[in-house]
Amino acid sequence: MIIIPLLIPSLILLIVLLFTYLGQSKHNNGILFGVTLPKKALEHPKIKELQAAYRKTYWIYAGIIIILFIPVIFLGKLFAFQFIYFFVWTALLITLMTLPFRRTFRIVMKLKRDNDWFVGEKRVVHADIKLSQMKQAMSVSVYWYAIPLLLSIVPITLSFILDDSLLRNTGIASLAMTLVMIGIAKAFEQSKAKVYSKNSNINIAINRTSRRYWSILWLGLSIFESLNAHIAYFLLTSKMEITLAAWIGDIVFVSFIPLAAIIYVHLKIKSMESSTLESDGDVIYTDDDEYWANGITYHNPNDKSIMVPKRVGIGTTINTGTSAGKSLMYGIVILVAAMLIGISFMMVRAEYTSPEIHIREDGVVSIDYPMYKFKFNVDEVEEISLADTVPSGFKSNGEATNKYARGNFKLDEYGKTKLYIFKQNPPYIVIKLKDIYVIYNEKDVANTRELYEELSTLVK
Amino acid sequence: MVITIQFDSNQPIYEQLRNQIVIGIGTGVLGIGDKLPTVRQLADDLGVNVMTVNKAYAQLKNEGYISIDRRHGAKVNPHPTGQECYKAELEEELKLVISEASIRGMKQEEFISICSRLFGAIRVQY
Repeated sequence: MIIIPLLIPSLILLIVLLFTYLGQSKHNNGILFGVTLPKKALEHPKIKELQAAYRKTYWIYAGIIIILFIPVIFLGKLFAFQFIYFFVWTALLITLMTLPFRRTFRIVMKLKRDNDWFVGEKRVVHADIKLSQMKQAMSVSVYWYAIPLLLSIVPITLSFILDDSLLRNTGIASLAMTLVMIGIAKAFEQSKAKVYSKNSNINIAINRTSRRYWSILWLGLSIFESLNAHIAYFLLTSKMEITLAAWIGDIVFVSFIPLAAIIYVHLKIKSMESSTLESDGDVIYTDDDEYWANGITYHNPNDKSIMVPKRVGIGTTINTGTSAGKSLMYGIVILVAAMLIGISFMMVRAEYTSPEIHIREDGVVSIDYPMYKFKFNVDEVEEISLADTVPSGFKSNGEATNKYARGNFKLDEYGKTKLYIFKQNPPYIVIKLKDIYVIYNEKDVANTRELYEELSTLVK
Repeated sequence: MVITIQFDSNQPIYEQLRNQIVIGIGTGVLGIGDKLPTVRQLADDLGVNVMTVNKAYAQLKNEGYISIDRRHGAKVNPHPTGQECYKAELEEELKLVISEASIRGMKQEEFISICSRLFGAIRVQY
């Protein structure tokens, strides 16, 4: 059943990428397949041919990618490798999805040159004086973020009074997400005002609507995320049986609502743009194709902005022509690579390493396991017993899968506990020390019993 | 009003900016007392360096077209300054323009009629 948490993000990613690239086969904002083309180019037979072939190709690729996902389902027994294959599959998905687009982009670029389909000026930038001056006031005020900030700070302060660390973590999670949204909102507020037409009034009208919608969306998402943190807290402390279905429902809810909201705002603004500009005679066209070398990435040393609106998809992309942009890009690549390699390594290691317990002559018991080793003296043991079950609780830090749990946990009956167990494999040796519990078992039941005999003799 | 900056032009960016703002004031697109965006706002929206916009604004301020107030930002000046030295500059510039036009065979009449037409687009009044 680990499959479902892997399946949902994979499905979302596949659907989003599929529809993003399929959308490139339509003439949007003067751009088709990532190339700036005049409307008359759409009549060309080769273009129509490309559009049909392109869409068909994407459905075939989608099918191939779904088939390539199947091994993930069957690798369930080898947890570490299932995860690593999942990373590889995701990389494949992202790469494969760009290929038909990039091939078509090259063909259309050549067609553009051969047919002289140039529209708009090159190497120019436009700014609207009145619009630039009014831009600031077009986004919703940052002071509204006092609401999610309050929703974050109140739990944190309460958690100190009530000594509830889960509540504190809820507040911290909410605070972190609020700060991220404030960052996004501020970055968006400073983003370039877009000049659509020689007519200032049109520029102001469109920008005002779009900036207002987006800034309200960021605020809404921030409040939504804060509320989610609180809902999660109430669910976890309610002692209700939280079924797998409930968890999955919650994950779907939390992922889909922001996604749907973003897509809704994006589409609404796009349609407002087209309907406003349709009746305008002074639309300004620029041809920025030279900065979009493959239709997807932006490289313009003349442009001081670090982030610019994407051509393919929703959102912003890095301007690799700026030094800050280059650093950002390399930084992200290195960070992601380090995380993936690090996590893969740790997972494989955890799969094939078991905790080992050693009892020394002087009574020191040491448990060896990468990153979570622990030592105590038999004199410190207040109680030692054999249990058939381990109570549930939360992980503070450690490794936990459906097969084993190693590390620092907070359990319902025992509080702070160090676990070194193979799950669903009773009995478990429960050792009570002064401030902490240790629960240990071996893969082989006989070994566990033997160890228990040895330890309880020493403890007496 | 929409400012257009050409990166390929021989003219430096600050000069293009300054010229277009002056023409904007002359043709009434930018009214007397109209607020201009701050240096940072305009630089962000054009995607050019803040120093470039600063240079253009400084020049406009020196020439008396705009005034910059620390609190309220830049505004189109209600009273232009420096009329006397300006007339001398104007004669020099016109001498060049008229020479270039005449060398290319333009007659005075045609030149004057072009001037009249352009003056027709002027809206600024003091």
